[in-house]
Amino acid sequence: MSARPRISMRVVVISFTVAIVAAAVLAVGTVAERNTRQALTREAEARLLLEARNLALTAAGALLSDLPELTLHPVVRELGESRPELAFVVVTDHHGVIQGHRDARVLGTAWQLPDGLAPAVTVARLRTDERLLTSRTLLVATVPVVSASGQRLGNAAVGLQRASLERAVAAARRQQLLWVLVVLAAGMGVTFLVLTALLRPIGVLRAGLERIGTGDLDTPIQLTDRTELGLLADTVNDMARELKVAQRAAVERERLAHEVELARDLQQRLLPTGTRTLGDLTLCGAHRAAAEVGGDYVDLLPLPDGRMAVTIADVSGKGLGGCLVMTMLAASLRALRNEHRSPRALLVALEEQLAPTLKPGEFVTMFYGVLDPRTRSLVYASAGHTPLLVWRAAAGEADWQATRGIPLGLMRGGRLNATLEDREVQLGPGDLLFQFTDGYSEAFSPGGEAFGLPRIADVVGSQAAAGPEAAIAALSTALAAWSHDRAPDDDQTVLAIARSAVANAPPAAAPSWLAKTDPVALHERARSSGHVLTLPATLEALDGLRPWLTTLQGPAALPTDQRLRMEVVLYELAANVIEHGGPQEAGIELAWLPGAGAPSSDPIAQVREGCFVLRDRGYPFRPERRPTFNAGQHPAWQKGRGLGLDIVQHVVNEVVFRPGTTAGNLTLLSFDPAKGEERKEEQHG
Amino acid sequence: MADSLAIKMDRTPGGAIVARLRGRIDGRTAPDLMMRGLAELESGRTVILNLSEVTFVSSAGVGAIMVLFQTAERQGIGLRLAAPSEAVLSVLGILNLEQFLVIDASESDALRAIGG
Repeated sequence: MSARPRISMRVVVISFTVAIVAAAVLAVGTVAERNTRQALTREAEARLLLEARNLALTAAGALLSDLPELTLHPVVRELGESRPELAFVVVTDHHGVIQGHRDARVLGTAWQLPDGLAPAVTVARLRTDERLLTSRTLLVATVPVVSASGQRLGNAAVGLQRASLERAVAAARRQQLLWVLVVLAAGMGVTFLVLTALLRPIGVLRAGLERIGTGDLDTPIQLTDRTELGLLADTVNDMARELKVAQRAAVERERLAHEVELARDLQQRLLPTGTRTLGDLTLCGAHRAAAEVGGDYVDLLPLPDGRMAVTIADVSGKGLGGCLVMTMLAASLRALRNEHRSPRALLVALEEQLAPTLKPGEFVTMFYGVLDPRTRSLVYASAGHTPLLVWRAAAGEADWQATRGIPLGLMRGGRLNATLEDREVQLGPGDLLFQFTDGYSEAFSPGGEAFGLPRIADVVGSQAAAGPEAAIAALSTALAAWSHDRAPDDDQTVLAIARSAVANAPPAAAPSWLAKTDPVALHERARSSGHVLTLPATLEALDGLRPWLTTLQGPAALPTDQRLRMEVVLYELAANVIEHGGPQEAGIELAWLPGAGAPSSDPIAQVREGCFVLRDRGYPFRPERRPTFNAGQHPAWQKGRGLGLDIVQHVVNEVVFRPGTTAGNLTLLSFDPAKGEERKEEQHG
Repeated sequence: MADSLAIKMDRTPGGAIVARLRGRIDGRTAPDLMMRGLAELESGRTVILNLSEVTFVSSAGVGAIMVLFQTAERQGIGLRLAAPSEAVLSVLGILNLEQFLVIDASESDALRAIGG
């Protein structure tokens, strides 16, 4: 506040004022002095002439008397004393002899004019024989002394020292200078006062601007000034007001941006994206947030019995509000999902929980389904959500599943319950389920046309064979092209579920000779082949499995990794029998029946055609529940034998379980070493 | 403007209100529609929404229409949608809401239906 200017405006203005006045005074003074000098000279000349004439008049009488010097001396002396600036006062007779002079000693001598005199250039009117002479030091007037009869009696001469004239000029100059100084001082004073009056509002303006600079936009500048400075103050006040409005807008923008960031963060944390597998099903979720974050929700929630809850929802509100409803929805769903087997019942219960948090007119469209990887079926209900797209690989066409369900929270009075229904969709090999939010179907082209359902089906169908990720990626590309890469107006969320196209069929699907063969007869044949291993029913005894395998022609010739897989499968099956089959007094018996075809040098072909028979005499599984040893359904496999299950599924051709035969419980197993190789190729390729 | 909604309300000789909507019913314009519609319904008048010139309905717009519909229902009076445009019908169709709403093919049909 106390900062001082480097050069005060006062100094600047006063310096300029002084300089201008000085220049003016110099110019005016020079002219004035010349004029003064002229005027004074003119006056001195006239006066000198007058005095000379007076002297001549007085001298006329005196020169006619006998003793003119007696009369003239006092006159001359008086004149000389009254005018000390006169250099001389002289009266001469017609002979040029001095008759009157201040100095009595020169009376009677001849009069000589001083040297260097020349006739003066003058405006005074000279009479006959009158002369006005001048030199550097003197101004001289000579006037003839004439009697009353006109007789020339002599001359009267008066000389004036020029120095006196210069003195008068200097005196006039001094006076003039004094006035100039007085005026100048007054001018400076006035200038100072005017400047002070002008600088005060500038100080007020400056203080105001400094306040604005420190961020105080509320205190206006109090300046009632009628000059331009007052206008300036008004302008600054207007500016501060505008700044304040802009500042408020900026703060609001920042708050909104922060809110959007929060909402987006919340959403991103909740929504699972990426790919998961569930048996031969691939599940893939993707989400793309709009600039104004919407309330889209997608989730995959495991259910205790191996099924998976899949859901996708769209809250009508946007921004943080919509996102909070979405969060509520996610929390409620997690709490409720185990309580209702029916998707319809779950959605109705969810609406009850959600309704109080929804504002009037706010609603949620929601798709909820339960996926069973064993049956590859989806039981679902849809509350006003976009139709479910099922791409049927076999037919190569879209099978749209539309329902009558209305959105959650939009209508009261049991209408949701009345319109919702549980539906079931079966997935065939290569089929693709595609459920999305309206951010996809309602994506607009610059021309205002919605992307629409048929285009979604076309794009998804064209990529269904390449898997769900490819289908989603293709749809994203198509949408970007459709909207000319404009940021989406609404969240785009999708959930895709694909069933593998490779016929990973369960054993029952293609009954082989193994299933059709009489198990007891097969067991007898295997025993008679001589490749039999009998072990006590203890896990420790299974160590004998490996040495026995090396004695078998075909299996022993397999590459190490294939042999190891075979060993693990057999170990798993035997261990399972020991652990869950109850008392095994007779021990377990494993027999190898080589392929019946022509002996081949290819061990893989030999092993593929051969089979193992595992016999035990423990408790049989209940046939009506487990008619075949289907790895996927065997409870023993489900309890902590996940890895073994996986290996068995990957490498065995077929497993058939025949409990309670006359020979005991028989497990028939055909093994295909090449199968594991194929799987490996598939996973890496 | 393309971003606004014009609402013109007329009272029929029978005392019903015909609101002709033109433009977009979205997050910006829906609150206005809801407020004005509710004000008419509060006074117990049947309201006909002529939606023939509605070019777009957002979720907020659907919300507003459904709030009006249910308010009318609670009051025991009617809310009818007259000549809804394709934009309106497709949104209501996706959400399965057309099964509850009273939709007339034209404004004159709606007026005839209420006997005004």
